[in-house]
Amino acid sequence: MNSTDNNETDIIKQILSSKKNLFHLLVERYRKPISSLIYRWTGNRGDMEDISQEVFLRCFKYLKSFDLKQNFSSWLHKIALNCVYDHIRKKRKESFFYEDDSKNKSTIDSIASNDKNPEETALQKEEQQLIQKALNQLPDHYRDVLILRFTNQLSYQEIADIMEIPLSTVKIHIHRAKERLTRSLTEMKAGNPAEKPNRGE
Amino acid sequence: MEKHNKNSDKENPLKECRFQERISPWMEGELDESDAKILEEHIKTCQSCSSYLEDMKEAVSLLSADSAPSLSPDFDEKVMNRIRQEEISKKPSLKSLIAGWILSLFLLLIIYLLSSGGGPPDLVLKGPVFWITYTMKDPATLSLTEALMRVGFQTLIHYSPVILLYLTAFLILSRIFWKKKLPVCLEGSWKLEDGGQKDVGDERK
Repeated sequence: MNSTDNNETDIIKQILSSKKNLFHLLVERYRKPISSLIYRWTGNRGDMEDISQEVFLRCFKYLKSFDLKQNFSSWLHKIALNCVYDHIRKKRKESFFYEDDSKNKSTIDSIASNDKNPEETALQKEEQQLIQKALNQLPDHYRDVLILRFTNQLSYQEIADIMEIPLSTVKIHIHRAKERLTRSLTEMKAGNPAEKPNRGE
Repeated sequence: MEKHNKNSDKENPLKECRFQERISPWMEGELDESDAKILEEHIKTCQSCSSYLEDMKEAVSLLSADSAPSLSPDFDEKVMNRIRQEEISKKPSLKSLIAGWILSLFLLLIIYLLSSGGGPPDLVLKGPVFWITYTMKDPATLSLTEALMRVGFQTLIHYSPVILLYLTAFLILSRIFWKKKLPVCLEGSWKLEDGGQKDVGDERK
């Protein structure tokens, strides 16, 4: 397990002592990876904003219990995943009344802001919608490993720490998840989308 | 490579070539040199594997693309404001309660001393004991419950201004002590005052 780097350890120690105003340094440092993870999971901008806030609130609240020998990034990512699960669980409970817009809205807003020509932007939107849809069809643990590995660029070891599973299992999950994602994406492109989300595994 | 399970092709009808399940490990650099060479040679000649490799590369590339929209510009401020609210809603600590209690007692003592012209505070001396001894003219006629109720009621009436004053002082002083314990960031602007620390806040890549 990689430990937290010295600079980060200093910040955390100072926050824990009395300089709690330094907490915003952690927010600045991690808001991008954390929001990317959440957005990939939910595909919704509003959810991303709300859950990201919740992640940092929980982080602040439980910082006292953080072991400085641990990797802070992994710890924070774990909190983020827990917040996402809580949110998804809540949404699934409300699903009778609430239509999950993650599969429909997904990445539309995000790419519109890029400074590219309209055709390219439209193509990107379409591709991102497809990948989001394909991702949504994967079982939760496959989605976790793919997002952590490729969206957040984390190492196998970090993923193993976050998900609390052996390194060998992480590797297997990643390969199987990649295979399923590729096939799902290919099917969708061929106009034969497998609409049923598979959560059985 | 030879250990490959041939039955896996039957399990997944989309898998057209048995080598395909080695493509992901190969992309992640997990195959040993000889297996990697065999696979690379195979991909050159197998249309199915070559196409599958391209599809997988594309999937990974799309997944790695930064598609997330930016958080709102005041995101950090919102987080710190919520932290502030949470901290304020927390209960006062035991230390601040004790400090408030001691100070409010001290304050009351000063008020009594001043109001009694520097002499012993009458109010304290003429408390419940005074009533029990002198105001009950015929305590024998009262039952125990009635006597207790009478003492309790009279004490409450007699001490109500003091009790109210005490509680107010206690709450105000506890609050003052508790607020002093709030972190600096919650007293005013959350923003970093020391610019020298800003280098640690670089975006993680």
